[in-house]
Amino acid sequence: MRERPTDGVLVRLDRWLTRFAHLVALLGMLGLGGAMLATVLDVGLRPLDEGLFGVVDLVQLGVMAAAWLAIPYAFLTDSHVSVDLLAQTLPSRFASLLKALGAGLAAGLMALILFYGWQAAAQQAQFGDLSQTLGLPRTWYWAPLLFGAALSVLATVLIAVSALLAALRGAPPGRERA
Amino acid sequence: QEHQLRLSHFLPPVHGIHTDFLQPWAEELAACSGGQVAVEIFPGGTQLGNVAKQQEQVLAGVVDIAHGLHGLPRGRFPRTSVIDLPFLTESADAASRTLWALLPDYLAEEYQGLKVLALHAHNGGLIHTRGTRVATMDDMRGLRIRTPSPAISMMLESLGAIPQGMPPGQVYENLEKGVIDGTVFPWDPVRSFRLAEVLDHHLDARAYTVSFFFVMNQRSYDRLPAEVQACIDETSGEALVARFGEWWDAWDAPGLAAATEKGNAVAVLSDAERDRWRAALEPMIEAYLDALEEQGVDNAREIYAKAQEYVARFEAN
Amino acid sequence: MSDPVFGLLAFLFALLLVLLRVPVAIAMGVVGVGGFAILNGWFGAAFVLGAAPFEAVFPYSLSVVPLFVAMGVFAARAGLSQNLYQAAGAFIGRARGGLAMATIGACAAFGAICGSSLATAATMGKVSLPEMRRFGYANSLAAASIAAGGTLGVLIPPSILLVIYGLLTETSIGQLFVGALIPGLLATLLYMGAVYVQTRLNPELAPAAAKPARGHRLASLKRVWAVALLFFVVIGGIYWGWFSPTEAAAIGAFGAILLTAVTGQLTWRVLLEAAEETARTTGMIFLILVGAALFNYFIETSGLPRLLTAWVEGAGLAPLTVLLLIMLFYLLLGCFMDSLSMILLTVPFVFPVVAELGIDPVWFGILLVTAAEIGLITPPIGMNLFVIQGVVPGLRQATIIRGILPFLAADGLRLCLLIAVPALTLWLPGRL
Ligand code: NA
Ligand code: NA
Repeated sequence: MRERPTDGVLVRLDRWLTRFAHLVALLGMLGLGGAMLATVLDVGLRPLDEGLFGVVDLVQLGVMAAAWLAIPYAFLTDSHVSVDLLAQTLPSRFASLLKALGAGLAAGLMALILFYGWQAAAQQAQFGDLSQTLGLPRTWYWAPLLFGAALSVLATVLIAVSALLAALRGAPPGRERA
Repeated sequence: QEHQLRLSHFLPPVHGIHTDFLQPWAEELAACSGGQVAVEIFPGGTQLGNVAKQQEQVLAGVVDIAHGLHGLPRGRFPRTSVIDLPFLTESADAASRTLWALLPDYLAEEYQGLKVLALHAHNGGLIHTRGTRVATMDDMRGLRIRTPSPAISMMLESLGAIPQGMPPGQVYENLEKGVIDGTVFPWDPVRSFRLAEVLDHHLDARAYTVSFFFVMNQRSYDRLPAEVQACIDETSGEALVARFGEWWDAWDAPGLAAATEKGNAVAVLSDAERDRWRAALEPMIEAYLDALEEQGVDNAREIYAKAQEYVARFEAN
Repeated sequence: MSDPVFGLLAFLFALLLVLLRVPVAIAMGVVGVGGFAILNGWFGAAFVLGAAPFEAVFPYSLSVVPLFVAMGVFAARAGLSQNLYQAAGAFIGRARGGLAMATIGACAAFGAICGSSLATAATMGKVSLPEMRRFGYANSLAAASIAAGGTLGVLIPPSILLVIYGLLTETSIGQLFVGALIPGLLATLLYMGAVYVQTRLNPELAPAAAKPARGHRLASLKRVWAVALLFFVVIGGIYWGWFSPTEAAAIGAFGAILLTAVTGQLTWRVLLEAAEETARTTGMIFLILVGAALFNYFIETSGLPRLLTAWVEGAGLAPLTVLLLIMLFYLLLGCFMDSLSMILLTVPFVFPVVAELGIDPVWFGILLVTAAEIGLITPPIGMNLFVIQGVVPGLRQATIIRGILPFLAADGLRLCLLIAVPALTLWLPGRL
């Protein structure tokens, strides 16, 4: 259960960001659908001794998009697994504080992934790295990772701030997701 | 020990590269240094054993020494990739010595920040198929063949086949399920990846090779005391490169044995047919060299000519 | 402090963070990066941060994960897994605890086309949990039977773990798959036995279901045609070589969508909801893969796993003792790690010991996957337990853990049987 912000500005930000992450996640699912169709087409063409050239490259691109564009949405819908054994026994203030801790650590980690991922991507772009069969630029594969990591930073910062405010005010843990 | 070195590679710890080459090398280095150095090996299957990360992690200093494939990720070693061109070399010995001879004048640029301990390449590769017998070029038409490098992809396309890129570890499954009709490989994986089980024809075309690097982070090397550096110099370089011919023969032998034991058909590409393939591939080789030049390797043709010269010299003795 | 000791402490710190409600993936990732930086300097950690998040998602073989998730989601939307479950329920659902047994059976059937236990647990969870709740089953039994049943997805071939083990150790994948058949069947029966025994002892866990009307069994079989067709295409396709197990996931997902359309369930709304659900699960699983990769870089360079195996090797014990110790080691490790990273991390060091002792590699592979898969349902870090929690918001961790104990007992019994009677594993491959 995620404590939603009760503060006016944060509520609007939360709603806007969740809606945006939702769209981004759906875009990732389009990538997954593309990977699926590419594979089906490749298998379907097989009896005709034909095939879709570079299908593995395409599938990898689709899965990269699916995974990394879905990660921020999973943060905002509280789909990432956590163990609430201890939190359930604590007063809600402490539970909110723990929530803020988790989201804060997540924000830090995602920011590091973004920063060093960016550097690695720049290095690979400089090397002129290409996908194995089709020769697509590796940057295409990095794009969803970097975008997903950046959006995850925003999402987790928002969650951390909301939870921290809830903990400080001792307010009942905001409205819950329907 | 005062110095702990990390060595990573991408092959399973049961592979000859681990058991015959890297592990004894590490022991030799430890002995030579009088126990001052210990080498910890991270083989394939560990986080540090990712085939596509060997070059980057040794450059970053996460490991001190790495053994990797030049072709993965593709395009990192364009100059060295000249050795990938089809029908350039048949023997691991000649190919390895050629790479070493080319290194100082033609390839060194690609190894900045690294101390190159050895370069090597496997024996001329075969075309292995399941369900289809390949004897002539025409038999290649429409076959889906797994390819290790862009040069071999171009070769297969020129021969009428459909190249499929995939990691070596997935070849078994995809052959078994008929996703691909065959693969190019030397003999070694036929046994080490158990491919004999799912293959039934082997055409000894000696068509191509794939090359490997064995490198050390320059800063890691510079940090070591002079007597340890001397030990590393002693156990690497030309003397090490000279051993790969024998090693590759030894690693390949069980592959042929496994195929024969299963009763697979093993054929050798006739010299006449081989010449036909070679002629058909001339335009492809030109195109590959053009592409290298476009990438900024201005002397690609010179490197190729030099490689041919060295191969001829080393194959003669 | 030596590196391995530091590794062990960091390991415990990660567990503490998890207990403090930090998402599992984040706890593993943060401790992994921090520990790696302390051991190897920030330069090294920077490399790992640039490499691991990409490489943990990039491998082609991982495409089965989101696609099997999508297949399960659509199969559930089309009522496919529901039909499968109801068919199993029609035959054994009337017995006390029958719906939980039907869950196990349906999981086993689903596992025969699905290489991932997470996907199996997630898919069957959607279908069977509401049903068991409807008939008044205790939450603990309902959730645990799905978490346990989900592990069948990894043991019953095709199995990603067996393929990876086979490639790492040069063991025949065909032999491993065939070798896993009887142990997989055994696991199914023992899980059903665990349901039977606990519902006998405590009838409140599972009220007897209403007696189905005459002809119910036949009717339920009629509705299974779509499931059978999808399973036939996917399994048949794998076994007769129309496509690879990796591709099977795409075919399966496509088939499930097609069947949703054929049964008239495919509206824009359903498509949207299914996409949302797939996205949430996909994001969750891949973030864990990323966290595990960061964590494993660190654990690996700390030398902890190697110290443990060197210790086992150095003790000079009989092969059977070593085998038992290794299994114990994996069971302990499985409490804290996911099965895939566990295998990736330890096999390179454990297998040489095993090989030197002359232990059969196929037998060991099945034992290893069995032990690793038990780790999926052992608290505190059991992936299938988390998946069930993800499927059923509001379900308490303690409830699931209470319910899982009888299934862990069944797992223990199975492991003992497999060790005591190697023929259970080796007889079938030997007939090939
Ligand atoms: Na399975
Ligand atoms: Na566990």
